[in-house]
Amino acid sequence: MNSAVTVQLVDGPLAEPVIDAPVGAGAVVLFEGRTRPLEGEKEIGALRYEAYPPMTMHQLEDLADRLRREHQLVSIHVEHSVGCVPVGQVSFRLIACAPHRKPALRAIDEFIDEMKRDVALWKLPVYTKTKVNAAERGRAVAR
Amino acid sequence: MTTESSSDSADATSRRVGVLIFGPQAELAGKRCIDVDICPGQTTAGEVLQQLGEACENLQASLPLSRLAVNHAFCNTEQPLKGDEELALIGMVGGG
Repeated sequence: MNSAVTVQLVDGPLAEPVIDAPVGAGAVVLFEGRTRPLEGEKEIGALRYEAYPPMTMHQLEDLADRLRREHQLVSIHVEHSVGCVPVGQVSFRLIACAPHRKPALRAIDEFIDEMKRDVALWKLPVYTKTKVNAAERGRAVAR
Repeated sequence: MTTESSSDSADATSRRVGVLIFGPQAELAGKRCIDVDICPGQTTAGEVLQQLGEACENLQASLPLSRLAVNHAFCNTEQPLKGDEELALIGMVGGG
């Protein structure tokens, strides 16, 4: 692993991004996942994310590093929330920097597909009738 | 975290080991850890999944799409366990 790959698990919603694109990055692609107001047909107030940190971090780092090498990215940055993320807030961010756009776009797409299939991250809907208090909002539920 | 204790019901050489449960499966099970019996070097990961289904009927439907993690990495169902590993059920994942 090296500084071209950074991975963070963050309690609660993600803050605004700080993009520090490295020299050589002609393309910087940012993807953000946000909590939608509906889960199926039910209204929700938030999503509660859970991780298994020792495994989740290892999987995210491995996946990011493999895609960095396969697509010759200059850098790749991953942030994912644990705990409650209210509707409209950001729970996932991926920033891929590459000399050209196509490898960066491909890497983003592949990363998300693999993460959703394999990485130890879970989400549970918090329905609007369930009060989301301040203590709950930012609390990671991972053990 | 894995808990261990002696088992009264299982074979004398077996160990009782906790399997960590997360997310929707923890809600289905109503708990975050389920104990299974492991005979060191004999019990396989597949047999642990089977024990989880027997211990908790609510998990059965999700087990065919779940995998066992041993010390934070996926293993295949044929892998024998030593009984001192950290075990976790990884299913119904949904990051992003």
